[in-house]
Amino acid sequence: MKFFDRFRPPRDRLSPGESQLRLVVGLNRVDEVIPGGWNSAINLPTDDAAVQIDRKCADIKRLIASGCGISETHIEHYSALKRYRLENLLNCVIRNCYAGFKLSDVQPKHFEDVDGVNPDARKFTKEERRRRLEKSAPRVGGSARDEVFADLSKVVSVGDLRLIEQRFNQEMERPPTVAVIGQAGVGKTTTVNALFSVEWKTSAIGVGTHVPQGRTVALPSGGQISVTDLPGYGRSIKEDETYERMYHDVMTDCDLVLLIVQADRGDFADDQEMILKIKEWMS
Amino acid sequence: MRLSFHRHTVVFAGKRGVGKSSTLNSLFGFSLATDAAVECTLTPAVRSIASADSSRLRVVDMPGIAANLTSARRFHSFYRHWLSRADILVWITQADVRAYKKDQQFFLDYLQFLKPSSQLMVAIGKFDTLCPGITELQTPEQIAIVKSKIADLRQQLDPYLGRRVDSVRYHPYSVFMGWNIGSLREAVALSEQPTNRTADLHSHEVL
Repeated sequence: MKFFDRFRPPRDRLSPGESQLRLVVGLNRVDEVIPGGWNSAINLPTDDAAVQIDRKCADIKRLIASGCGISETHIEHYSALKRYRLENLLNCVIRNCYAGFKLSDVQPKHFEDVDGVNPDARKFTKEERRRRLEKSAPRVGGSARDEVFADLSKVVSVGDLRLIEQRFNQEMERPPTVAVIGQAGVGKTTTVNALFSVEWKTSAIGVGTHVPQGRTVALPSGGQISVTDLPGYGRSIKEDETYERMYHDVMTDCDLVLLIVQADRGDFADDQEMILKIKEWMS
Repeated sequence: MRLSFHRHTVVFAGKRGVGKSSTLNSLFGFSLATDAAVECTLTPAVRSIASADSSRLRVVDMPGIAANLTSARRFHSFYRHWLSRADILVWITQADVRAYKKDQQFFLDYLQFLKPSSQLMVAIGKFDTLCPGITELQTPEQIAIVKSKIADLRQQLDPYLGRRVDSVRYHPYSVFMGWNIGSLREAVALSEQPTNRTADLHSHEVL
């Protein structure tokens, strides 16, 4: 039994020296930051707006990072609704998630597949994407996994390799668990849907959840992911007090906490307070 | 006896980014700097304006609260100073937000500095986000949205208003659509003149 315990919960496995903060802060809705700065024909910001979005998000990142004492590498800006910079967010998730390699095959939804995009622009982007995929090193038989094990067989004994393979397969069978949190209406479900190409229903306006909702879904890229949607914070003093214990219990069992913040808002005190707590719980 | 140059003082406050300055620009034709993502008001902006009956009105635009962890401490003395001098406190919130923890904390910490005779008004801006294109309250759907928004806000804020709970006024509006701005202007200017309220609407008429 001890052997299996090593696989969960992850936080117990890390010695204090190598503890890594399993947190990603997503700045959502960057498309709303610059009024009139979005070109919906190609579903990208205009050139001027792109520069301003980057600048303003850099300000917010600095504010959050310095206020909470976390690294800016944990923060990424994007827009779930416009599917803008989803790859960047996904990379940030893979980098900071425990066993993030399990998500390395995930494909976020394509930004050109939203309503209102010019058909010619869509066709061009799709062709360009396919062309680049073909150009990138073609894999001749076998997966990256097989290559790694073939390499390993040259340096470790057969018995050790079998043990490694066994542990690796066990780890791979455990779906990555992600806790998603943020204030009500920041786009938690929209983000999960766009980022992992899944189809969860977004909740109706005004109806918030009061209990964590966990679901395990199959990823189109293979494997599974387990996502826990946590009730939003910052609604009232009383609710935050009630939720704190539950937040703690859910988050410490997760491979990653994805905290979503709206980039087009100005009040970050609630978010910063939450990040400070997560930092304390997760390290 | 001390003569006051200003008939009364109106203080506008709220969380950072809710649109305090754009509300003031729209109400009084100021040109306070506004920006969607950058904190613009770092110290209280005090303006003196002539009201309808040729007396003067002092309008104060406070820096937004809850910008980050340190802003509460940074702006504490400003808030204490101006709340004790306010005749009307207009607390601005936005319709598309459901998080009121920081609003509650503000009332808990600062309402004590407001004079007992002063008025408290909660203004709910950006209503065009809930009712797109709203220029007047017409459809039953719009009335239902406005009512449920005010009810939600009351539920969260009333427990923190103490004895002001019965006198507080909730005022929905939209700067972007120019909806219900005129009546907000009248309410803060304490205009004595009879006013035409057919186009505009006060929260007590909604409720």
